[in-house]
Amino acid sequence: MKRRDFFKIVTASGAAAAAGGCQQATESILPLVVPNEQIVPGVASWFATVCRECPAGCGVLARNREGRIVKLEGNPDHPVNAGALCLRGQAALQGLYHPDRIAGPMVREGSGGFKTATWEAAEKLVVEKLTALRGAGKGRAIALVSQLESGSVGALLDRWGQALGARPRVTLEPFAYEPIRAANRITFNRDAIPYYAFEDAETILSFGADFIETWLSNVGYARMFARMHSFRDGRAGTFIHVEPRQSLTASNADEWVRNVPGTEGLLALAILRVMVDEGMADRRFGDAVAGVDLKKAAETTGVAAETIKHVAKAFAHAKPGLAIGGGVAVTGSNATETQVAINLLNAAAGNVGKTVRFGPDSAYGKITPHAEVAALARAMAGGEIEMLVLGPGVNPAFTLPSGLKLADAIRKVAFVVSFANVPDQTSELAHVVLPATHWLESWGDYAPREGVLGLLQPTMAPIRDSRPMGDTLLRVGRAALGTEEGKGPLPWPTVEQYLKSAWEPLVKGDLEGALRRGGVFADVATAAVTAKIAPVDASPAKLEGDAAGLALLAYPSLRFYDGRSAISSWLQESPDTMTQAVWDAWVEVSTETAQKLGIARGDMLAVKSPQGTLELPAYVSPTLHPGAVAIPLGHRYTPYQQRLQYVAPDPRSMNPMTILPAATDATSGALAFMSVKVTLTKLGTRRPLAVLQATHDQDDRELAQHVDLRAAREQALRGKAPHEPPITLYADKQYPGPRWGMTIDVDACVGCQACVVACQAENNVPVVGKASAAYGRQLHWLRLERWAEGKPERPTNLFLPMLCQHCEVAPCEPVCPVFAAYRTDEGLNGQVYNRCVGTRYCGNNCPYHVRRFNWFQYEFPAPLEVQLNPDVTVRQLGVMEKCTMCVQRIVAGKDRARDEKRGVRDGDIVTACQQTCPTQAITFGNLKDEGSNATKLTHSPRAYHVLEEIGTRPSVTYLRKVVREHA
Amino acid sequence: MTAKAGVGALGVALLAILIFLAVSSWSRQPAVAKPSNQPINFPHNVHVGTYKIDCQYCHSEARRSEYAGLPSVERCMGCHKITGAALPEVKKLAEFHAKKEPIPWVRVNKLPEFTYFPHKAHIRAGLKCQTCHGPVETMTTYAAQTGPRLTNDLLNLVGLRPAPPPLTMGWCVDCHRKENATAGRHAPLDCVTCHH
Amino acid sequence: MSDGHSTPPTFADVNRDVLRTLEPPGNLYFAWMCVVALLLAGFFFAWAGQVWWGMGMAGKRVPQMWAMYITTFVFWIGIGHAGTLISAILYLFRARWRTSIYRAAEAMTIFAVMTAGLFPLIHAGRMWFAYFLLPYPNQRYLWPNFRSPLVWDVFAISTYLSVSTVFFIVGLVPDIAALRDASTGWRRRIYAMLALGWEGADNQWRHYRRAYGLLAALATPLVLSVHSVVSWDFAMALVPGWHSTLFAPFFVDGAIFSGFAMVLVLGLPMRHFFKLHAYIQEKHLDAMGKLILVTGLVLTYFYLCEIFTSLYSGEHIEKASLFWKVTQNYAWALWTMYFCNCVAPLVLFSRRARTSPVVLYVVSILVLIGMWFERFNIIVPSLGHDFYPYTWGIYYPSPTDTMIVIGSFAFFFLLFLGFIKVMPSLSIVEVKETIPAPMREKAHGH
Repeated sequence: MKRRDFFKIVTASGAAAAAGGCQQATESILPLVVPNEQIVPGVASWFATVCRECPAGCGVLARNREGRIVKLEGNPDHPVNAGALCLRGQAALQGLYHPDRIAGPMVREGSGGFKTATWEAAEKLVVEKLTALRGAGKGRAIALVSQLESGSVGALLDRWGQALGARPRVTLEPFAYEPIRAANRITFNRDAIPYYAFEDAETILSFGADFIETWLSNVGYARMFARMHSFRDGRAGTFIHVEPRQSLTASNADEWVRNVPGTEGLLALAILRVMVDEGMADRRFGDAVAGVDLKKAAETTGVAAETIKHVAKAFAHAKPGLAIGGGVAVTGSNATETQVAINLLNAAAGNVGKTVRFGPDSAYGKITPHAEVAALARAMAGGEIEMLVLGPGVNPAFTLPSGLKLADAIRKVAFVVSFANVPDQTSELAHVVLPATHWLESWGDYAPREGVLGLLQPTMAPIRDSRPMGDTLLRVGRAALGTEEGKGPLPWPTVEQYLKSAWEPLVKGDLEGALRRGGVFADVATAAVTAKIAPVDASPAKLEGDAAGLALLAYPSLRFYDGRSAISSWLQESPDTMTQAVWDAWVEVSTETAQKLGIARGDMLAVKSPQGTLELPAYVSPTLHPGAVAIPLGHRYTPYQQRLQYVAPDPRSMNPMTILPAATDATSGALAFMSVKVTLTKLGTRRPLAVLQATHDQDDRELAQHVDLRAAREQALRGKAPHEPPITLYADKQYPGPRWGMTIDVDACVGCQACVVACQAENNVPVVGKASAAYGRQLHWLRLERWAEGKPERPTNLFLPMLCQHCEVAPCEPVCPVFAAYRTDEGLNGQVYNRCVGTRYCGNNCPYHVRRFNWFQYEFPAPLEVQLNPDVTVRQLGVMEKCTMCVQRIVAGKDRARDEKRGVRDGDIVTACQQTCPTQAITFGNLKDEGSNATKLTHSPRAYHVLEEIGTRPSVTYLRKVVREHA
Repeated sequence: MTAKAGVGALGVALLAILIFLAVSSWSRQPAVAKPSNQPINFPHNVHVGTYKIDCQYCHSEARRSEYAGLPSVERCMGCHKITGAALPEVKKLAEFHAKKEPIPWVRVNKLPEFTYFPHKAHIRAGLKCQTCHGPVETMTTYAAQTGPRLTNDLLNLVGLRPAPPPLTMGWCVDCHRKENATAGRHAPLDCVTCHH
Repeated sequence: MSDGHSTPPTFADVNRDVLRTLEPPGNLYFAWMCVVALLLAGFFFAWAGQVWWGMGMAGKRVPQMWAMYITTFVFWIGIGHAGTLISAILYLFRARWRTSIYRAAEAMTIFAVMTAGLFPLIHAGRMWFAYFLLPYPNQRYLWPNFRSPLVWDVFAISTYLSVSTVFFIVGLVPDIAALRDASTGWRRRIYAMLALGWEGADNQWRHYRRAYGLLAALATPLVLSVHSVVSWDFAMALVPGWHSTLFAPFFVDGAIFSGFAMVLVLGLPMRHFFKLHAYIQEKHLDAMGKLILVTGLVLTYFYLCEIFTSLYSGEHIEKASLFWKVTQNYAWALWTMYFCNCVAPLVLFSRRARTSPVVLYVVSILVLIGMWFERFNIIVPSLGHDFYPYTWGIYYPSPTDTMIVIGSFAFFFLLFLGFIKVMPSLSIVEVKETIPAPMREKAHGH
């Protein structure tokens, strides 16, 4: 039978099992009509597919219980993410089960709202329009806009367009990194974005490239960054980051260079200049930097000449180094020049071919240039476009600067078809909505880079009456062309058949295997390139608006990307690591500006640009460059989030795109995000931010500790000082079986929050909303703290994932009157929800305050409750809860071991946070097994316990962060 | 007179105890369905008793899953295409099969949501199904008599040790303890093994 | 008899005066009762809301998972001390001045403890499972955790309540007999039942005295134990500002301090409205004043010890907590407490203040406020600035918190106001003991 049918059936039985909620007096249980090999009720089965939350294209394994996906994990076999997943990937489930998922086809009623329609009726409208246009010979009046589809799906869409004589398809990705392409055309004569081999670099010099947040492939590059940078892995490479604002990436740098916004190019050239002058680079590069004077450059960039010098040394002496550029600060009017300068740096230091590898080129290189997007916008505004087809995941009305007037342009289009499956700012403008299946319900493929083709397969039956975009297009295409299945340019009945035929040559008969592995992966040889050395215009980025104003840095957010992930309440409530703010957008203001205007955190500010005004609460930051203000992109609330009775979002726009002009980078024509100066005015009103962390100052409590690199190296040689046993009157607890423990490497942690969301997904942790979160009632079992040390304007940031420490002498245990908190025989600190009375004594007595209380009965609006993990109790109001070290996974792991008649081995049990961590900072294991990785790490000289002096003897061991000398 | 007052006080005290015991047993009462209104009147005694069909032939998930599982309609039809096809109850079954609809069995055994009970581990330990589910082979319609009882609480209170009713926590614990003591097994007694 | 100082009251006076307190009350009384009932309604409304929607209705948060409920709980337990102290300990020490006030004080004790007893229930997130704290054999083979101070509370408080109730009832018996003889109709029948057939025969008196003495001896240690145990709820915990061996005596003293203040707050109006000046005389007020003064000074000493130890400890976190309390968000509460508990009572050094009902009344009110804030300062600020900077935070009471705390006072006053109208709020028997027995011929004045 076809998997699709069987899913339909199994879904029914899933409903009974997957329900959390309260006890019913009677309920019915539905058996399958037909037994199936793929799913055993009560046993998880896994399906490999590809994450489409952003163009990075990480491999994903979807955990299917009773026909419904309950958890996503990275695919260990996938070359990009190798098992890790970022918080957006983890939260994709909330898009799948989003309460606002469009229930079925919708057709606009005249000028009024939508009314639901049958697929036949809705498709008929589309077909009529298509035939009419083709009949009138106006095929060019049809425009197809989709997100980046680098595989066969893209080919199919193009084929559809050609068959109907439509305009060339536009792939719309707001973050396209065109300047890099353009620069590579100029320097290396290659229109591509190469693979950057972080893992082989000794020194990474980044000009604003926020690779831990959104740049190209945040999971992949974070992984590789850990390899070159984390002390644990033997190498301690150096990472220097240039950016006007201390982003999460900047805060991971050994040295963060704060420059005047828009002067990265000049800085790069100045560094090259130093390299040439001091004979660290070939003389040939001299003429590229002929016009650059170090002193002047130092003035313009606001970076001391000494700094430039030693950065140049650090970079030039690295064998090899790597210079990269990106991020908002490198999207100004001079973006391409900046990237060219960076290319020259790489060429001069001889990194090209070593750490800059053309060949395995990134899929970003295939994104339609912004110039064509703008052209389409003009065409629409000019009434040339009569039919616009918008694929899922594209939301131009939100993700493009209002300067483009795209929304107005779309309104001018007579007939707009949207395939969105969750309503957004663009689908509101559509005339017909044909909800496409979520990528977890779809067939497809995606190639994040050359040689890596990830395959998408449906991991469950569609939860709503939605159909794959491909199927619909094929059907309406054939109808419009008047051909039937098997004939004509669009012969395939479904996209599934099309893909399988397209994959045939690649998978060579082993489709099952390829689907199991998650794709077809091959290595691509590095292509040799030669650098063309030519003078570079070093002038800083030109900014529109009030010259006396502040440069606006509208930066892509780690949590929401361009806004497509903002529908997830998990992400809304997982704090931005740097500000620890949740649920709301803010405008980051430097302390200097704040003092000048008398601004405090939470004051409402009007951010005014020639394009318009945006009103947001202020976040005062000591690290931001005085000449700039920063606003995260992508913040928006969905109708569902506004429905949640405990969330009261501000209806006004939080989107900085609304005040951005349609400026572009002169050379590449790329969209310029840093293109305007804004002025701030204090409104006098307040909108307090929900900031989870009371203070970033440790008050000398040494919660997050660090050690100097040299010292760390010495200790590593000497080994750990013999640990004297604690002095106690009481007999130590004996553990007949294993004793579970965990180590967290503060040095490896980059603060990406993936673990926080993974934990939330695994353990049925509800969201509490802005008000509760602001009042210390968030329920995260695992929180990621940022502790700032040193000078407030350029602090050393330490990221500390804090979860239940499972103390051997746990303060929470003796005070619980009913043994709801107790010590298990395996060294866990157990929490028995159904025994808990809710005296909250344990919560008071926990020095780490990691115990969470159910202040209310929190809701999982349908169908979100389908996502609940059936192996974990859904907690009732009035009970305490906390990290269990994924005890359900421990039980499962032991069960598997017993099946195989063996003891539990290291690696059998992997906690949710550990599994998803891109830098593998977290290690779980049996502390009684001397061979286990966890035990080995606890013997590291860097090992310490948080608040050790209290004598709680935690089972969670932290490893000190290693800070470089010149940091 | 004094005595009378004393008796009164004692009475009040006892009443209080009774009330809260009643409340407590009620609040712990797991949901148990009436077995009467099953869509198809399925006689376990015939299948298990007379025809000696192994439990796991139909409840085939038990050995590999948390749930014991129910036979798919197709599996039922496997035999009933021929066997007893004429019987009225089997005709009902045939209808479901023809309509490709699942049979909406009424659930009989249901542990509270906060309790995790894996059949698999118990089958692996060689437990007979009857140990927990009673003499199924004799039941015309399967029913479970379970849940805490007030009488039981009271007997406990006066120091007697009545056997806990089946499928209650004490009953599970008893068995685990016994097995560990006598059979030298390692049946877990950690709360979080079942409550997580 | 407006002025009872020239001639001591006769037995007849005593009976008349005491029974007069039981006459049908005036409008003022009913007005009072209405206010109380209203507040009480609010109390139950708020509680119901909290049970229905969850503990979040109260202003609790991380890190203040305990706040005003436990504050008020400890406050009432404290109030519950003076009564038994006066009736039991002072009885054993034969302090005669106690006689005129101990009845009211005992009643106050029991009602205070009853009020306090509500709070553990109100406070629990799932109060419907509160019975888990009781040790009873059950088919889950589960027992409470006897290492937990909360379980000790359950024992300490229930014991204290039962013993002092019995003590109270026994003390009442002869007086109820008097009421029985004085009243008629259904009242008589009820009093008769409660009087347990008291005739005032010699052997009854003999047994009565013995029983009363024994119960007094039994109740005495409880006075000290209960509040020590309650104090261990904090002392046993890790929180800086809680983790102190000082707490047991500290709490007991504070309890007596606030207890006597409450006795005055209740006693002085009674004295005024019921014209009991003959029985509650200046010497009584004076004695009470002295006691408040002494306990107040002791408390001040404890405060100093507390500050000294945390400074002397050299513990960074301990000191940080102290400095924060003294200087930051909750400083106002702390200084209020210091003023009310340490400064205000000092006026009682002057005898004129000790004998002036007005001054005493004001001081007692201040003391009560101060003692409530003492518990508040122990709980809320300590938690607000403890080990982990990430979670430091400020607690804001919600309407639910406030209504329940105020409502608890209403609950207490409802019981007490009810009591003084149905039972003799003055011990007829013991008052009579203190005045010369009637002679045949007219007694001369002294």
